[in-house]
Amino acid sequence: MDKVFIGVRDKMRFLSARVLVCVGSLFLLFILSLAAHIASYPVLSTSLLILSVIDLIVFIIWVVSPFLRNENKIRRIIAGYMVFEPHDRRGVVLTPATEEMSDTVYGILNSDQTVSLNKRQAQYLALQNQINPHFLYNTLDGIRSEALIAGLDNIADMTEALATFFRYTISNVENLVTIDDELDNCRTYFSIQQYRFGERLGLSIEAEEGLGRYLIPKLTLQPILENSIIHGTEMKTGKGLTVISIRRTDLRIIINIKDDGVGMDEETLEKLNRKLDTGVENLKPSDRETGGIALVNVNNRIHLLFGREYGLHVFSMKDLGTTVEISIPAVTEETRNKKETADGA
Amino acid sequence: MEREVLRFSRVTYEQKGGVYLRDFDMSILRGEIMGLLPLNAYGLPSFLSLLKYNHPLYFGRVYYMGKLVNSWQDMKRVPNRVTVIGSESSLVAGQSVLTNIFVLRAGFGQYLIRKKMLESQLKPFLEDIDAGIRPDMRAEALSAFERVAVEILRAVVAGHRLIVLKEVGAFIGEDEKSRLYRIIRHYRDQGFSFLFISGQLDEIKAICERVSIMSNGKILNILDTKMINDKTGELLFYGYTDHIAGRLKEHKKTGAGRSVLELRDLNSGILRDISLTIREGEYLVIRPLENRVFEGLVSLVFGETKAEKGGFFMEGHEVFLPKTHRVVLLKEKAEDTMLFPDMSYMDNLLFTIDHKIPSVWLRKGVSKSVRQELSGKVGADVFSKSIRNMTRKEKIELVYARIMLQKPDALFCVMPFKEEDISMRLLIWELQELLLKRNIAIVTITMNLSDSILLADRLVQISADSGMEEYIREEYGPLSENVSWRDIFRKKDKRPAEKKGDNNGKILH
Repeated sequence: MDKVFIGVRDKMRFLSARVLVCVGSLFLLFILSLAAHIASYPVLSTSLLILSVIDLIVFIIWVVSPFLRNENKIRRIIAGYMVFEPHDRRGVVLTPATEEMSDTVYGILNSDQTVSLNKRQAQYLALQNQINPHFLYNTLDGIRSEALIAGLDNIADMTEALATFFRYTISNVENLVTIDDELDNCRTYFSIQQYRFGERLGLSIEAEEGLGRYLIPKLTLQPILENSIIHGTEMKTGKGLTVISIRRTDLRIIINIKDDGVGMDEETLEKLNRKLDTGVENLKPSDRETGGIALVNVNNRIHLLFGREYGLHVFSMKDLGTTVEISIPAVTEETRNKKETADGA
Repeated sequence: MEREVLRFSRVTYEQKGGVYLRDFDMSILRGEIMGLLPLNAYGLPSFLSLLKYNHPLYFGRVYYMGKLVNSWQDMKRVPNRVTVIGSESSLVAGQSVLTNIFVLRAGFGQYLIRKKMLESQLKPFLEDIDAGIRPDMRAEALSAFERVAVEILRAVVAGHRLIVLKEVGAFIGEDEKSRLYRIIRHYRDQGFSFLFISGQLDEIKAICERVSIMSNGKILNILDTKMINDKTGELLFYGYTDHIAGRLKEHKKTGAGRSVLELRDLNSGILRDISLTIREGEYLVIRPLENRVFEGLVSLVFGETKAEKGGFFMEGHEVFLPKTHRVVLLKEKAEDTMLFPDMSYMDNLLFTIDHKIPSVWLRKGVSKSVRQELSGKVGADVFSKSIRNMTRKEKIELVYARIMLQKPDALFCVMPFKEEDISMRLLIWELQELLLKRNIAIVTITMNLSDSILLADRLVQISADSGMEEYIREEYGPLSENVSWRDIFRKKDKRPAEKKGDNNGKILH
């Protein structure tokens, strides 16, 4: 009996089945009502007519409303928003075939390969000028030793920073690291840049206590900091300051990377935020020129790991600096382990 | 841990094919006063409407008090418990403050109204805000400041955690502003959040901690108000600042011409002994410092109240301003109040020149030549448009084109820049300059000096207590900390402002 009930419930998730049930029952009620009318049973005829009206209301709530929701979703997909959801959060779907199609697309978009692809892409972005990072890392270590022997402390420090940066970038296969790890990597990257820019660049990190233990996708902050220096403060005349601020609200962790650089005009900002919303234009060669590829990549990984309600948003005005706001859920190692245990149970 | 009262997350909102909000991202924290500076008005009404009613979204999500209240995927929506306070009163006229705050709110479930008990409940709130409001005062008897204070109280009592204040600086006196700010800060400290919408950066700096810069339905940037300096203002109002600098260079001192209108010993209500002479082609700004002075003066000018003593005189004869062709009176939002939507563009344009050209309606040649002259400036298409289908810009241009054709001696306008975005402010400014070039005197009655002060040859401040004070252009600099563009005048003049005589040499009070 339970099996039958579950089977019926599963079938009723499809609009095609619901249409069949509603239209079939409406047709039946109408025929019966007509027959009762011809056979001069006015009470029965009226009752059947009332039932037909109720059936029509059920049709609107049970069929029309989910249909409009599906229609909305398809329109957003056509417009470029990748809004595929997992099986259990999908609600009513059109037909069994569309369900299968959604499963397949969702599977492709959220597969391990896709996550790894995005991560590899992030690593590639960080090391895009290097042919063999391992070879480079070993060489840097060698240079550092030689510099120390020669008493060139500055060169030794700089090489050490570079080596630390590469080590962080190419090691650790985990998708998530702590905010503290990411901030350390930012400091290392910044110290390398300071050898180039000296006092012209400033970095300030403002984080509420205890937030460093929350998890964040690896290589999230450094590419944005790099963007902020290259496209913001570097192009500015005079000193430039980048501020990384981290705070927690009841809904999320908010990380702002804010620079006082040259900013961007309204049109460029709109294009960039649109790319972040749709997340499908990350492989266009032109993006490399505009510097948006790193942001789109980071945003895609956040979407894949935490869902589309989190991600990046850019605020900017010409000559008034740029702020990249990163929004992620408040997850620590402990809460993640607890969740995984609960899911396993 | 901070608490987010409101969060618009990547909201795109479409209506009838038009995108009014695009990737709109903004959050307001508990106990925060967030500023919103719209560089243009596009999308602002949609944002406020969405904020209250959670209309269907094209994309994105809206969270209120930590809950997802609207999403592009979701079709169940209920209005948010948010209060929006603007220039229009939302209090019920004819009812007392007490009734408006307690009895008329949603969820008031009592059938018997125990006035004494409600009064005792309201008392601590009224003491908190210290605005001199009595529970039995009628809504229509409240000044603009008192009305805003009561609306804030009503929101607080109803438990609305987010209160939106829209351009309140435009209709509240300078002294009252600081009292209002004190009330806002008081409730901010109690955990209420405010969204303070204003086109004036100085107002936002005075009260807000952060400001969101909005343009074309998007939030462009969010700035910390502590970091805002004069340079920020220049960058934000880039075109406008350039325009101002250019116009100030071109500005020619006027006011030495013949007298076109006199206000002689005007007495009405709290207005006492107002005497002024308005000269051809001059721009005079009258700034009432309190709302009741403003209301009294406007109703006198528009003939809604009769002066107890004195009056308006032209060439020695007393005139009733609404009835004379030689003076034009423009109310706030002139494009809504000064046009007849059922009449054609041409009829709206010509109907005030019938005293100059008899039978103007029958003379096709007149309308043809007017059309030829104006089409270069306003475009040829606009003549065939219905008033209802015209844009705001076209309507404002029509109102001013009509005044230009009428060519009065003086124009009185009430708060012409109120709630206007920068592009509209520039347009009105340019249109007013055209009138000045035709030697038409302009008298602006406004409580907010921003914008008007840049054109003004003279400024007259009227207060119920200290009477009338007059300033000439060189003395604007030290006037007030909250006047936009004050630095422009400060650079010119280092002398302190002092009480001056009027243009007849009399000391006024």
